[in-house]
Amino acid sequence: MSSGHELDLGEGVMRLKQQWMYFLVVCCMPARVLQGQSYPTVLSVQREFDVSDVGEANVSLNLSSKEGRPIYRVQCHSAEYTGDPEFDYSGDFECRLSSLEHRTVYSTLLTEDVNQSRDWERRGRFFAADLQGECAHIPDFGATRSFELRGMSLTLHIVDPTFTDNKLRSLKLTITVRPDSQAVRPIAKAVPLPTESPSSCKLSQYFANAEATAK
Amino acid sequence: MKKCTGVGRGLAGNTKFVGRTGGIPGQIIQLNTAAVIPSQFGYPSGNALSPFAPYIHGTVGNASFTSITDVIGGKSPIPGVNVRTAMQQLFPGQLILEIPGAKDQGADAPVTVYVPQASACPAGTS
Repeated sequence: MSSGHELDLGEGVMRLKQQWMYFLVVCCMPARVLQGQSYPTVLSVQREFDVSDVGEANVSLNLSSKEGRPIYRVQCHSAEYTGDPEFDYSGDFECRLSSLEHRTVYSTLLTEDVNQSRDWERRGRFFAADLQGECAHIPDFGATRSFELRGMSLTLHIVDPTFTDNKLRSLKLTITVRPDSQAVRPIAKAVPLPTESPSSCKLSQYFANAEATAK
Repeated sequence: MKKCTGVGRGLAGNTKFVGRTGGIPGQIIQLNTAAVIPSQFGYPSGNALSPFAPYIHGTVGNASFTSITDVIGGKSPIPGVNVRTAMQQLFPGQLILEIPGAKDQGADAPVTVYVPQASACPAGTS
């Protein structure tokens, strides 16, 4: 009797465990996916690149998983660069993020538009005007731009740009990547254009509206 | 200018980029201007095409374009294959033109393009 009761209790515990596992799989796993946990955790990294001639810019940085596996690549070039048939660089300097593990439909993961229809869409591209005077200080549209996606935060920070006749000649670029559990989108989180900015910054000419691209 | 005729795929272009600087340096995207695949015109990039882009014009189906202001890009219909390559695989031998403000002209649409005398006719035309 006693052993029988213990057996019944054991079966009950087993059933509870099975129900708990079912709950975990059915209810919690999608939440984990929604929270961006389906992406490998990226290793933190910070690298500075000295681009002495923007026309010849050739920035490339592989981002690794915590297991050391290369999973993403950041590349930055000028419009003169033709060594990447997968991407048409434009502006004065443009950065692209691509997956090394999975084939995606997006030409750059830095896009914010689920229906991306241009390589230059949207904040990975820099113009000389973006990096001068007060334009350089506009958060996320000036010299410092952060992108949240795939469980990470990626920041492009340009300092010491030099110009000749308003054309961008050289710069220093720091790429900083950190894990970010709040970054859940497969492409960059949409950042709206600032409601006010100096007309000389030409934000409405250089950037598409996030409102039109974010959905 | 040299007249080139042939067939093409005329895509309806999104008007949300009108007024923006696109993939052709020095050009502002306007209604009834075209986004193209530079390699179909014999150039490796939008930047390389830029000296000629303001002068290239023509028609695809019932839609006309007055110049080239942008480069087709972005999301691809084939994962892992660049959209420009994918479009040429889907519509082989056709000139791909995307015109903001125009209606979709479908595949195998008649194309007439005027290019500078020194340039070769683009893909899908002669």
